Amino acid sequence: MLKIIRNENRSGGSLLLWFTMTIVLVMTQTLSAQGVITGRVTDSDTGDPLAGVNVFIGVLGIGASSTADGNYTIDRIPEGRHEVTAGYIGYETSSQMVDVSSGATVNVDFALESSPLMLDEVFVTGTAGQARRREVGNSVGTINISEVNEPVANLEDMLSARIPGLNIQGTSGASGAGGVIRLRGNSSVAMSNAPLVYIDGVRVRSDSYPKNVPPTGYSGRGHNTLSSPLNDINPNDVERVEVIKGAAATTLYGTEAAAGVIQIFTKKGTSGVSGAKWNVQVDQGTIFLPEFGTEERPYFGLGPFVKDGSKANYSVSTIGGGADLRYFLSANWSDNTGVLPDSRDDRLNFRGNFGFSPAKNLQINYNTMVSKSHTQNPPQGNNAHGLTLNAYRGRASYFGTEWGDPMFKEELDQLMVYDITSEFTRYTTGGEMIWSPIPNFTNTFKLGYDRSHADHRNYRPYGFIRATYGILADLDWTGELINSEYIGSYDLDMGDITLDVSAGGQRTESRDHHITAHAENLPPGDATVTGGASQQAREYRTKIINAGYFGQALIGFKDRYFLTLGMRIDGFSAFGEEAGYQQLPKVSASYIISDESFWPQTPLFGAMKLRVAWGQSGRAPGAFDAVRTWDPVGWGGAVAFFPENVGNSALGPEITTEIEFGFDATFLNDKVTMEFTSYDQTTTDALFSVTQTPSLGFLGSQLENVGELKNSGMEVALQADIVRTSSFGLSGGFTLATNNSEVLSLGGSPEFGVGGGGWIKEGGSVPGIIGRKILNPNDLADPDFAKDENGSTDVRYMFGPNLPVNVYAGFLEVTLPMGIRVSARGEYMGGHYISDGASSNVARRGAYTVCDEIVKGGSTAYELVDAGTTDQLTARERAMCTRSTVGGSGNIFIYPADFFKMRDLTVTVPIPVQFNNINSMTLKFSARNAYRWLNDDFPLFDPEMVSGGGRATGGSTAYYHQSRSISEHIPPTGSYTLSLRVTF
Amino acid sequence: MKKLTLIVLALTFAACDLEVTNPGPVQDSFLVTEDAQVGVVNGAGRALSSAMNWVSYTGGAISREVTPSGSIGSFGISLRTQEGYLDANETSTHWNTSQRARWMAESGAARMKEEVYDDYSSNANYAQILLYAGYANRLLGENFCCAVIDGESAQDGSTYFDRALDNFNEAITVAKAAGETDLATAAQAGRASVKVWKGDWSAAVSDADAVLSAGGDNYKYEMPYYDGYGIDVYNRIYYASSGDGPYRANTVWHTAYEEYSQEMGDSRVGFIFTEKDGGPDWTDLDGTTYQIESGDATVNGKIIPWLPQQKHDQRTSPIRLSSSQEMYLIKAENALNNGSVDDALTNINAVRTLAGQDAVTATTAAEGWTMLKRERGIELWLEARRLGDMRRWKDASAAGSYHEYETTNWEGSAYTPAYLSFPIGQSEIDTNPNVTASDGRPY
Repeated sequence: MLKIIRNENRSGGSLLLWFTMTIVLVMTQTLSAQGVITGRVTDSDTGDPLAGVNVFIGVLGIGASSTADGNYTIDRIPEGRHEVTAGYIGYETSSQMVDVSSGATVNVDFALESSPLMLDEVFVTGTAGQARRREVGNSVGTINISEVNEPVANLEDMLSARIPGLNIQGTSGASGAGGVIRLRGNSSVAMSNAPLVYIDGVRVRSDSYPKNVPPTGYSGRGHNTLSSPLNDINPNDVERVEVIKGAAATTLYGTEAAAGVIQIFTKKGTSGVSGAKWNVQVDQGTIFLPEFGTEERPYFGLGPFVKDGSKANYSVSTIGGGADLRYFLSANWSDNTGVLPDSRDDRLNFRGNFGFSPAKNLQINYNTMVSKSHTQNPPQGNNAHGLTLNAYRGRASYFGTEWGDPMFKEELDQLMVYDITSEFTRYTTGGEMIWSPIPNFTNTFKLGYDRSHADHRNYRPYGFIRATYGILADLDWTGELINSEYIGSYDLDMGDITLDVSAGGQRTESRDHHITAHAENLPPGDATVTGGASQQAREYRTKIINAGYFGQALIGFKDRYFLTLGMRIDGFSAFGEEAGYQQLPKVSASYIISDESFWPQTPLFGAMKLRVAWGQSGRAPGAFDAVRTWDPVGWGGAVAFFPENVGNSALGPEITTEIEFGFDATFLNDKVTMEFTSYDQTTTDALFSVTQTPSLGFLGSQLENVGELKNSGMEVALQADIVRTSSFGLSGGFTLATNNSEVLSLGGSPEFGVGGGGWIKEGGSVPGIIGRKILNPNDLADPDFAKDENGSTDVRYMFGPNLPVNVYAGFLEVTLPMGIRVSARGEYMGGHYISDGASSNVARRGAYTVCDEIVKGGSTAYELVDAGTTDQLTARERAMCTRSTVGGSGNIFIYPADFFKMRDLTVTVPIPVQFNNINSMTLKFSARNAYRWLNDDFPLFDPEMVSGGGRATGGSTAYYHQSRSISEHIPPTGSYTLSLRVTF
Repeated sequence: MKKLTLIVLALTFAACDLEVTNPGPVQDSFLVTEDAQVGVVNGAGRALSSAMNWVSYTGGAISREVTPSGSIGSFGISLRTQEGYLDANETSTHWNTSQRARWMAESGAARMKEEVYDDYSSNANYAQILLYAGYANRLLGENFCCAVIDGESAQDGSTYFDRALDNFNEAITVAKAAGETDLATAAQAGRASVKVWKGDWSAAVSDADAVLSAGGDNYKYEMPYYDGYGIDVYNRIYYASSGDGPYRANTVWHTAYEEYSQEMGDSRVGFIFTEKDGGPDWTDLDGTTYQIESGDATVNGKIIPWLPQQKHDQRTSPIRLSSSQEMYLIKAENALNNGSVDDALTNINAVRTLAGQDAVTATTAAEGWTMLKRERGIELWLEARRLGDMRRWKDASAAGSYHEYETTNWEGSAYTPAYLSFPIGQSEIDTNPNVTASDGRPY
């Protein structure tokens, strides 16, 4: 708590929010009350108490959550007859009519029946308005906070390995580094494959923060990792996440949603609780770096610099409200140090969610989040001024000093004055107004604003070993999203037939603005750009507007047959003049076959829903892609133009068409729940960055709607409640997701690379990994490389996909007496390949430690090659250790990238407490990434340490559409965390 | 309800407005205005300087004007280039930047003539961009095997020289009409060097004499480089060899110029060294051995001495396109072609005198050719000319010999550049349907 208070002065906005919180708290305590409902919620089968059940009076908009012992209390209830409802994930909703008298307390208990399919669960993502699960024809992945046992450090960890088809891969163990999220693979080659992200209905930034790198010179001069705006969100604020994965479900989001949509719902206030409920959580732990390198060179030379890091997280929240105003307020402070010197990240986060009911038919919700974070890392990645690159390269480093030399650490220590820091500020606010002027007619207005700001400082001071007179770059970047939405819905109930008609419009304005100041030849001491003898500046501003209208009709029959028809008409400011508006249709159907009389009433079969969905969505080009432009580059102080963009007036979005079908079902007395989905999506008019013919002057590439891509696969989620008694429980399950991608057509454009060994060619994956393939790696012979059609060594041999083909996750949870729980979650990704640029870079320089460590007959591999006596070396060893050929075209360091990691192992111990005001106290111990398995053919590094792309302002980097390749980074870290949570 | 309806209608109409004007990039339509022509000309100039940067550096590594010593990636010299190969998939940037320089100048000139200026025939901007077009074509002709013009099929490399002559001829006429005598002289100097390639020696000498007459002994026309506008406009050779950066990618060690520079104290090919305990040994001409700084990255895993060149000693060091010294050397070569060693030496020594160097002697034609080859190497060092000279002399079976370090690598084995010209870039092969990988084999 002290740290939170001490850091309030970091943000004026935060102070204001705290002030507002205090006022609201005071206000809500003074609201009047008439009667009280109290009771207990239990599982109807076991009689066990159910915690966290939402018990509410819908008409009044008030309610409460049950405590650990299942008890709840709703007070300040107006006198009269009320319908009280209890709803909980995995259980049938139950309602009772209750008469409340002034000053009286009424007891109402609920025994909820298990309902694993939750057919009446309401979704709002992917549908106009809202729809029940039984009505939805596409798959919707969900995560409820109650399913998350471990104390997650950030939202990406929370999403990881829980939903089939949602794949998060790590990028680095650097402090604050974000991951890469893919839903059903890559549906685009040129544009971002990051899913759209909504928080409580507000569209927020989904692409990464820009990279911290100077505006001129080599684009890797930094730590080469990117931070994810998703991790600005305090995971403890999240109540629920909905994920729709493909175009069949994302149609109504328009021409930016082909990569899927993730919608995050934060906690909302509950009225009627007797006093505010508080939740305080403290997490502390240690961070470690998983081992890599060789036996003789642990951490590949980085060992002298590796240390254990620390993590700490302090969180407090309160929830409550009255009949007219409900609130959820939270604050969070995290403070972590990394596993390398000068690496740390901290984050301060506040949230205030408010709900008002100013009139009987009017509901207003207003949510605001403020976050401020700071990261610092030493220079990493493919950076000649960097710690990791020079450590990994040993004698081929830019110091030329061998590992083990006493000078090695001392020389590399000179790099540590390189200061790379970032401050991120995030402000997300939005509100919705739900107005129902007449029964069955609902109008929903939404307004949202999301502002992301990055303040980067990239500082090599005067006297820096690699820039004697110093270089400083400051980048000030702001990204804004302003969105508005209206949906009108009318529900018509005609007995067996129901009709829900919705229509509306959505507008999103996206603004990016960044200014960089760059200075060289700095004065000694702590300099600013102003002090530089040579100064440069850069400025970029872009604005993009997307607006669309949509309509949807949901027709139901006998509450078990459902047909949904929808259409979105979309305009986009970045389309070419000839592209016009886009029409994106969708249709889906669901069928609750288990409601039919012929459905077998046996323990084997439970509920079953069949579903099928078809729809289109897209990805739009960038702000300038459609127009022919020249770059005002300047030359010697005078204006100068360079050809920049060829332009294409017909440029439009790429269109992804997807069909998916599957079922949701329960078996064995509802003990086993299963979801199955098969999907097939094709992206036509795919945007390719078509390289222009150099002799025609424009050296860059031009986006053209020429390609055709395909993604297909299946997703399975199975959960089994194996044993469940009042004192012991065993449950487990797995998810399985496959993704097979293929470039169906290049549309006449030439094959092209996407960086990191990624290649786009017809018949290949999206992208595929190319290089030189050694056909006889283990033979005592010269390497026999795969040949091309001309009989020459094929330097573009296609190894396979870069994205995982198979992603499996499994979890197991054991419940023991006294409420102790042990849970574990692991994840396997496989079937893909990765290019190892870090090994290639050092081998090309003739200093690959592996070749020093291969000793045959008393000589190292390098010595044997130099002597021309390679008889004892395998083909692979000869290829790796022959300096004159290892660096030729076509990387030979390409491996299957399969891995398994134990993402989480958590022990939860409830602490019995008897204090008056404390409802529960829980202690957790959690281990993350504590175990790792790699493919036997994968040496040295880790598949989750990848290149951070070029000098991008967010988006167009390896994180989003280029291939992943191993670069001079460190693997994602592991951690051990002890967490204490108290509610009162 | 009415208010709500109005709000909805307002939002609806607002949402329909998708018109956005983003600042920054220059719209294509602006380029036909007279105000834009300075930017067009400067763009062509910057493009030419960029092309010179790439070709002069890599060409210098192939022709052993420098020895690769450091980075093999950024600002470095690839392993294949170190072995004397110029592969299409490694030289696309050289092709791209050179083609861009040609296209920007030629298309800019055409736009001025057809859409901008009524008085183009006496317009200084038009003369300047024609001059850039001429030098861009000369750069391509001297350094690339083959010509590809505006997406057409491959042609013989001499096509560039034909276009350069057209550009220079018109530039001379327009510059004179515009009263821009310096531009006219620069165009004439460029034309002299192109006439050499065309074998029109009398015209070359005539232009050379005219340049010497107009510009005197210290005439030069050079391509500027700048600090403060991004790394692309730094002098690349300086930046790649500088110690004030990570690369230290080339060294004068084990080149023909290492020994000559020490022996003669000729600043045209100067270098420096920095002592460092534990560094590789380097022995100077006097036999003194020093431990000195090495190239930051090493060649084949070995550490070699780092002797950074000093001709381009800062980011803003210009690279000459033409000079009076070159004019003298054109006259010298013409004399050798005509069998007059004395006349050749007169012109060679005129160049040496300008550099403050002692005169050289030769008695045979072979010795004369050796002196000429050496002197052109020294005088035009790292100016993107050596590779072309070596190819031209090879084609002409010119007499004379090279320094041993131009024919051996630093480990003592023979070194013969596999190619004496850059190939058509892989980028052109991949994107131009009229060009195939088999078009124009470099040699």
